[in-house]
Amino acid sequence: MTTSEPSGMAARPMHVTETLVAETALGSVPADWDADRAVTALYSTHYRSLVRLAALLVRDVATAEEVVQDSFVAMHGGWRRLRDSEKALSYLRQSVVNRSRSVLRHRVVVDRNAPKPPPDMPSAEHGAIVQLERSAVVAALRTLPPRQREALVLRYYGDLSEAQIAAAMGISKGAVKSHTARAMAALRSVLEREA
Amino acid sequence: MQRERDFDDILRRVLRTATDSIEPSGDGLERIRARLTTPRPLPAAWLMAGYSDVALPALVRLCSAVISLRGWRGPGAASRSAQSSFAAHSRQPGGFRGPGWWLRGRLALGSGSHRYGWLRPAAVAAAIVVAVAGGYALTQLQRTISSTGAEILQLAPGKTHPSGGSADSSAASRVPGPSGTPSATPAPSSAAPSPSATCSPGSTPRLGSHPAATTTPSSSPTPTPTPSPSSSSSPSQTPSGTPTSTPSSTGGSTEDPAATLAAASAELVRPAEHTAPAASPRSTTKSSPPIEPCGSGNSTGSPG
Repeated sequence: MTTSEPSGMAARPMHVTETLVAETALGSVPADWDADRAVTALYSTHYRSLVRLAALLVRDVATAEEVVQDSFVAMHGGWRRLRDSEKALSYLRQSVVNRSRSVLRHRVVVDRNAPKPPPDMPSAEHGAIVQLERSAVVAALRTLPPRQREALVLRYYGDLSEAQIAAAMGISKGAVKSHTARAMAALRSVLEREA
Repeated sequence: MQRERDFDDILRRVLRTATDSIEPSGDGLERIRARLTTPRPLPAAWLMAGYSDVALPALVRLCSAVISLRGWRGPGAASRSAQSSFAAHSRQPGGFRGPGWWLRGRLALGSGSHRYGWLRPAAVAAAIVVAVAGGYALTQLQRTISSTGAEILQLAPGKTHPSGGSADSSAASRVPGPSGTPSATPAPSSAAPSPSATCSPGSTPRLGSHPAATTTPSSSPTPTPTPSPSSSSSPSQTPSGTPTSTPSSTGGSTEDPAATLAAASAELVRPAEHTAPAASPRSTTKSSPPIEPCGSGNSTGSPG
């Protein structure tokens, strides 16, 4: 359950969801930091977990990395407009969720209109995705509506509270509860049916 | 309840296990920095195209509109000045520094001491209105003063008598009638027939009240056309008697002071006559000069 830091970063083993949970400890950035320094610090502590969160949402590691990097670039560009620098992680998480939605919307349109590509040699990322899809729970999670899937991923992978999920998804706490309950009911029914 | 907790734990564990195999590439930070330093080619191309084709003209027009709103200096002046200043800025040795700099520079003019620059048109309009109103008021005031002065001179002859008797002559010319007759030294008959008898009856009591009006025999004297001074009364009734003829005739006559007074009164009253030029010809043709100052309706006064 422990992972290592990306290359170039300080190697410190940590739990996958540690960075998402310990927001106050690692998600806050001193107010006097400039954007470059803040981006570097947030990258060293949250990049991997954010990529995995995005991968659960978009089901593509390369796209997930792209999404997270775009979020970091956006945060760097809007660093001066960020009222509370201690909420940088919340900003990043919300940006990742929103960009993942955009990717999924775009993918729906592309998959609807574009012809199927010829089969190529499977890459390592494809293998990881296949392994991800191999899980029955993840497969069942894939059948859920996007909002319910987001709520479940943020709740059970990110270990976020309802308020944090609401902030990340841009919805109310009541909507978070509703999405989570419906998603759990649907997931349970799918798993019981398969079992 | 316990079942739900178990399910939550299962779900949590499955999700973590599934994502353990996902390992992001190590050059993530370098790629982020590369995106921060150099813009992406396609968006940059789109941005440049949009900037050169759409944003720049729109920005120029917007700035010209803003400047024209801030200080309107005539048709086309604002846009010309904006375009010329924009061209001047773009021709600077430092090169073109982008629309943001130019826009900030233009808008900075209105942020400091010219914060209330938009009041300029209102101030100019207000100044124009004040100037026009002042000119109109001055014109009206001048007319009022001239007419009032003429009336005062006519209504208060005794006060101006010592200086030249102009008021006397005017009063006499205007009210030589009933009031003038008793005062007139020559004879009641001379004043009675005077054509101005119908003129301004309201002023007659004043003349009667003022003993100084007795010196106004000039009222009767108007009859200057007559060669003989004594018979001045009779000829005065003749329509031929004009104010212009008075001085000449009176000059020859023995009543020199009266003639001078009449002349002076005519000179003083003349400005008031300018306002109603139509009155003088009528008076000259119809009746004797004393009727002239009466002006409006009574000029047609009884000729005899």
